[in-house]
Amino acid sequence: MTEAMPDTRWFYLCTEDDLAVPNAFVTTRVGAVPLVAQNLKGRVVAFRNVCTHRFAVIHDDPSGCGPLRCPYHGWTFDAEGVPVGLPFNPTDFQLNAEGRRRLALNPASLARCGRLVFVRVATEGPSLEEQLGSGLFARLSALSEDFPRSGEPGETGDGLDDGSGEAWERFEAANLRVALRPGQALRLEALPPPGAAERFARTGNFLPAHTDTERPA
Amino acid sequence: MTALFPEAGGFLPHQHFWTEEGLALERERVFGRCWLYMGVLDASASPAELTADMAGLRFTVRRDTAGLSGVCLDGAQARPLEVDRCGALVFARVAQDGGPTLAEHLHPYAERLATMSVNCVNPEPPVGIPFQANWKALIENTMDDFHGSTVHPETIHPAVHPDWQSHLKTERFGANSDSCWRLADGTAGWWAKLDAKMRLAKFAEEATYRHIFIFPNFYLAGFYGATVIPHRVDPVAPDAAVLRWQLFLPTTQLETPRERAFHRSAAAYLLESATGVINEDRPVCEAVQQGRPGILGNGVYGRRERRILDFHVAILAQLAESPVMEPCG
Ligand code: FES
Ligand SMILES: [Fe+2]
Repeated sequence: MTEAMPDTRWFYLCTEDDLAVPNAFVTTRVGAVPLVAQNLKGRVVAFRNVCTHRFAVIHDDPSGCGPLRCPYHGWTFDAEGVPVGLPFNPTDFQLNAEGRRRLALNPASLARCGRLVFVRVATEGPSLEEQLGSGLFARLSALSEDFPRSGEPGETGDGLDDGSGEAWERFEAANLRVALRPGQALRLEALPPPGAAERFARTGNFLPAHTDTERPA
Repeated sequence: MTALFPEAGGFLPHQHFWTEEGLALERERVFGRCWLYMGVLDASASPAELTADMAGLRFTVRRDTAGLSGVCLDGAQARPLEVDRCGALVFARVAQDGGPTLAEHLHPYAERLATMSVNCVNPEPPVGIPFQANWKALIENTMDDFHGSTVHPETIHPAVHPDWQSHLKTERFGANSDSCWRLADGTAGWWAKLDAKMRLAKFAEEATYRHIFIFPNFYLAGFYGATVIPHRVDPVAPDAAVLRWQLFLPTTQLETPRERAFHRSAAAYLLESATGVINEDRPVCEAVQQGRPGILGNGVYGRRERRILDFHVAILAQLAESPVMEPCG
């Protein structure tokens, strides 16, 4: 049932760093619903990534940096999802504050687990911690804090069998496949949610604040 | 407030834009019934034939010594077509009792279309551009008069008059409409030079870009009262369509090799420009196809978007009609 109706499921989207600067955005899709999380003037918010004017997907790219502006007629939305820039409003729409509020983007849900950002289509439902279970939630949160630096795959060991002989521990959380080499590297592989194209798959490699390899031998 | 928040019954439910059921109903009640544009018959070819595929129906129109006739293949079932023309433009519909004549269907633009169609000479090869979007998303896009500055900032937008808002004239009549833009002085000057050089055949003295839409899926574009481009949007699947169009650059001077070469290069330039514009429209139509299933509201329609709702209402009326009676055998 949850596979067919993923609206209330949380899906991993990105890390906080991906949304750290104003106008940074990351998108995905869950079932038929495009989603976007974006930093708007320092606030990170999540919406359905669909324009309320005539339904164009707003940000097509899986990630990037730019205003929350629809490519079709240029409507621009604020952190409340309300259209604030409407070309031709005085002649074509004459929308007042109430009319604009009526056309606010449909909200989505956003939750954090440590430095990891998750999104969900439904605005109501079980919390991320409830979905993951408190043990897994706490572990993932702690790991995201312990491995704050993003690194190149080469730095963390290419693939998961890098010939070093050191075993990777693996586990899964939501759409995340986690691989961990304690003290060395954390690898997060996010599968696209159901309905999303392969281009929404994401892989991140993370290093501890200081790795052993950086210390003089 | 000039914005219109559509009420139930005044717009097509969203799922008509992506479901098999929606397309099946349109096949039966829109494409299996309405007058549809088939093309322009090549005067030099005899017998001449036009074919079209829309929503799984295959239309074939033939001209032979007996005149125009045609057939619609719906799977294994063949149904005769009623064929008629408006000037050089050939239309057909599945033969049926009752329903409007072609002139009634084109009303009030039959005469204007016939006049423009006189310029359907010196044809360029037909072009088909696939869109990953429902055919109606393309129709909505073509009736949307105000996406120029955002979607075509370097093509259409600078080609029309900077004060396009005061000069744009849009007429609506049921689902049919005509919108007429004044060309920018620079663009009009470019056409005037072309005219001086090749003596364009003109159906009117007008420095405009004109666009006549005929329900359900035909529009005729005209530039400078000379060039005409018939367009038709063919449904292929619930989320796929092909925009088919053909450029005619009518000249009175095609005698010498030099004149022919000049015509070729002007036509090639126009074809490239038109393709460029369509390639700007394609991503936004596809973005709407991707977005519409994810929206909770019904959108809003501005002063210059009423034609889109006219189209929705006409489709709803057409879908509500009872099926055509099969002739008794
Ligand atoms: S569809 Fe987004 S601004 Fe028109
Ligand atoms: Fe366009």
